Amino acid sequence: MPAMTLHLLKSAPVASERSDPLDDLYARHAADVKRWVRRLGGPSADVEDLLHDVFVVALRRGFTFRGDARIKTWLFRITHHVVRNQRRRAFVRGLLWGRHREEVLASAPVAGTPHAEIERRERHLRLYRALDRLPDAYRTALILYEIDGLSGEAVAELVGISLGTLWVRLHRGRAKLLASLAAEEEP
Amino acid sequence: MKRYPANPTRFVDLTSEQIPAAVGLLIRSAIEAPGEQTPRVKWRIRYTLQQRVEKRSRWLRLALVGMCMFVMGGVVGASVQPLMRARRLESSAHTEAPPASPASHGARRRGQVQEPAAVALPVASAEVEGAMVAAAPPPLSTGAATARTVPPWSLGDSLSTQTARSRPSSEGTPPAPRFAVPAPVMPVPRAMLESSAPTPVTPPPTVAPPPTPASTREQALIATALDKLRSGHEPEAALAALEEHRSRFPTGVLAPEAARLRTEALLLLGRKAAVLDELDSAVPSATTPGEDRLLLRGELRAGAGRWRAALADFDAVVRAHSAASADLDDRRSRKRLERALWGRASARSHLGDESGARDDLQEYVRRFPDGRFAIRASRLLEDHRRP
Repeated sequence: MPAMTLHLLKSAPVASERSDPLDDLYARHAADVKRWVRRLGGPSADVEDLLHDVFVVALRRGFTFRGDARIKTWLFRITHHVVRNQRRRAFVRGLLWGRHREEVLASAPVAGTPHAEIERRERHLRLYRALDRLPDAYRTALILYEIDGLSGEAVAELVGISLGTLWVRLHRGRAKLLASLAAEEEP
Repeated sequence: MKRYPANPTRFVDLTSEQIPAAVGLLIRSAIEAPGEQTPRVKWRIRYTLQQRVEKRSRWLRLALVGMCMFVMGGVVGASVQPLMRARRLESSAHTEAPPASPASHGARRRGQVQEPAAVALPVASAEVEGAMVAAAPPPLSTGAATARTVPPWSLGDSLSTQTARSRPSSEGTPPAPRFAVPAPVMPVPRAMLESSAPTPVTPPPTVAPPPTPASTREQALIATALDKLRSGHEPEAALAALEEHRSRFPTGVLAPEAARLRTEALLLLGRKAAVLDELDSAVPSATTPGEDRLLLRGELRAGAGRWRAALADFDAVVRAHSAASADLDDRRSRKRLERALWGRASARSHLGDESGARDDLQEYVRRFPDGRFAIRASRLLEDHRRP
């Protein structure tokens, strides 16, 4: 087990002397990371795999954390990169093998009545199909603000942009999303 | 400038008049999507990290072992190379030396130096040989060409050349010859450095002194000089090492070897006068001159105008071959005799012994019809027939 970097340990809140870096990091941030993965990855993402990848990268690349930002922000960047890479791989895989992302969804756990769940999944998939057609910057801002429900300040801090930039991205992203959904509805 | 609204109302909070109702529903369905249970993630992360560490340490170990082997190989190679080179030089010297008695061979193998006369120098490098050969005149084709190709210290190569008579000589001015044989050319170091095996010319050593092991420092100095001379082509550095050897080990067991190396280095530096001094002042018991050194000395003496002394050297070599009817199948022996004959003819002509010079030239043409000086000798004989 590689030791956590000093930066990471220093900036981390109080930890017990015998605590493991993975335990500390996971206990504090697993819920946030899991939520980000679920939101950014969409319905077809394998949350467990992505969560695993994010923490492996974080623990392996702990030395890149300089302590300038909060660990949460740093973890969000890692999550963002991991999810984006996974989406790219899935896109290429779909092009090469013709595998649809919806096939992954079939293995997702079922909750609620089957009919309601199917309808919800359909809407979920439709929304993410439209989101995937947007530029990544707009997509991320929209997901964090509209779906994850974060405030503008929190989104700007996580993404690492100014608040003004976020408003611009949100404005343009919302317009594009509406246009995309409207175009999808047209026969 | 366009202003973008801060804190826009979220889609889920907008009414159906503000946006299509379907959009809010879509967003809400995404928000309400159930989360997956991930109970094994932590264990998987731990396992993956452990695997990575083990894999990395395995590669690190392999890289470390490879690096150690590389470094050790370099160290061993660096330490063995000089020894191998010295052994190679020694073996090449042995192969060129005459067969020695088993006892002496064993002594040489043990690092002891044999009788000075039996110590042979390795063959000079091709570069040195090339340089010296370039200094030698090519076969004569015309009279004008002859005058151009004669070495500067030569007294001339035709009857009309009178500079030979006006050149100062330490042995007096000999009578002007009817025809002058060109002065002998400088030999190539290869011949000079070849084995100085005991020949009838050199008085054989009476009693061989017991071989004394050379000190390590002395060996190191000689090895340095050899290396600088043969590998580094730095005669100045070699000479410096040899001077240090001379000052520290004036009577060292490797003194004959040092003397020969010094001669070679001085020749490469073009210091012919110094070479001649070395050869003249060589202690006979220490460096018994072989045929090559005799030839070299004779040619240098001829170059210095000391024709009588040069004649003695050439004569000794020629008589050695004639008396013992040396094995002229040996290329080097033929070369030596060729040079000696030409040199003796030159010396005799400059000392006024025209008959002897003519005999030498005839002998030269008879023995070496394709020799280096054959055309020139034939022309001289034709131009100046015996009256």
